[in-house]
Amino acid sequence: MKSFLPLLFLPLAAWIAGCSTPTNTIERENPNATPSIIDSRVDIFDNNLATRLSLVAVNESEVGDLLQIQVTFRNRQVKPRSFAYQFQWIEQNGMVVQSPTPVWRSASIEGGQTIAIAGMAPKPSVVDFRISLREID
Amino acid sequence: MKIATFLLSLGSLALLAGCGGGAKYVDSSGPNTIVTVNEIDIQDWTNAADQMVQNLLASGVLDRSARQPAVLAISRIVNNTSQQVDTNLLTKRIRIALNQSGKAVTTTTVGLGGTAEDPLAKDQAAYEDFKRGGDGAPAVQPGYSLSGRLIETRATAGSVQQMTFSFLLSLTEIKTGLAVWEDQVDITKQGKKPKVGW
Repeated sequence: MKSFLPLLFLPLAAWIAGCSTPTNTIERENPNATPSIIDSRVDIFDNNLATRLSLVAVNESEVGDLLQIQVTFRNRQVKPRSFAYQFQWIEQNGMVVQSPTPVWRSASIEGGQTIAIAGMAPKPSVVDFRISLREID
Repeated sequence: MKIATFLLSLGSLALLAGCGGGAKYVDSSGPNTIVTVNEIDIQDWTNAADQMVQNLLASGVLDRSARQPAVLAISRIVNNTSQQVDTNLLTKRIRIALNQSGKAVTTTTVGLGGTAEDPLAKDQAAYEDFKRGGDGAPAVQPGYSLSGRLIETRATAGSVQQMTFSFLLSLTEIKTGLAVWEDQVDITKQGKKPKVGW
C-alpha cells in the first residue's frame, strides 16, 4: 500500500507544476539604457504582497511636458501573481488630480518574471505621483 | 445553553446579513466591481479608455499639431460585439482626459454625416458666421478625426468561457488623411459565471 502512496500525489504535483511554470529572464549584462531612477518610499501594509513582489526600480521621464513614471517589479516566487495598481497624480500644491478619476488596472506576473508598469500624468501641472498596489485572486 | 446557542445563531445571521446582499457604493473602476465574462463591464470601459489616453499622450502626436490644443472630431465607432453598447462610454472618457491634459479639445458642432453633438451651438455658430458674411461653416475646423471599432472574440473550454474585447482606435489627420496614431487594447476575461470583485 505504501508503495502506491507517492502515485496518489503525482497528479497533484503535476497539477501544481503545470499551473505555476516560472519564467527565466535573459538580458544584456551591462544595459545601455540609462534610466532616471527615483528614490522611492514604500509603505507596507500587506507583508505577503511585499514578500512576493519586490520593487526593482522606479524611474521617470518626460513626454512633452507630461511626467511619465515606470515602476519595475519582480515576482520572487514560482507561482504567478495577479495584482491591481492605481496611479495617483499630485500637483505642485499637493492636491491629487481628481479628474479624470484614478483608475485601478490589473496586471499579471509570472513566477520569476520582471515587469514594468507605466503611467502618464494626466496634465502638465503634475509634479508627483503615488502608486497603490493590492493583490487580487 | 439553548438560549446561548440561539443568540449565537442570531448573531451569525446578523453578521451574514451585514456582509451579504446589502447595496453599497464601490469605486467604479476598482477591484470591488462585478466582473462578468460575456459583457463589457464599467471597469473595462474605464481601463480601455485610460490605456488609450496614456498611449496617445505618450505618442506625442498631439504635441506636433500645428494648432494647439489640437481640435478633434469624433467619427464612427463601429460596434461589432454582440452587445448593444453606447460607445460614448469609451470616447467621452478619452475626450475628458484629453481636455484635462490641455492637449486637445473636441468640436461638438462638427459630427458624422453633418450631425452635430450640440445642434444649438452649431446653429448659433452658423448664424454668427452668416451675419459676418460667411457661408455658415464652423469657424474652427477639426484637425483630427477619431474613429474605431469594438470587436469580441469568444473561446470555450468545457464550462470555462473566455471573452476578449478588443478596442481599436485610429486618429486620422484630416489634412492628409493619414492615421497618425493607432491603438488596440484587448481585455480578456475568463470564467464560468460573474463574480463580485477581481
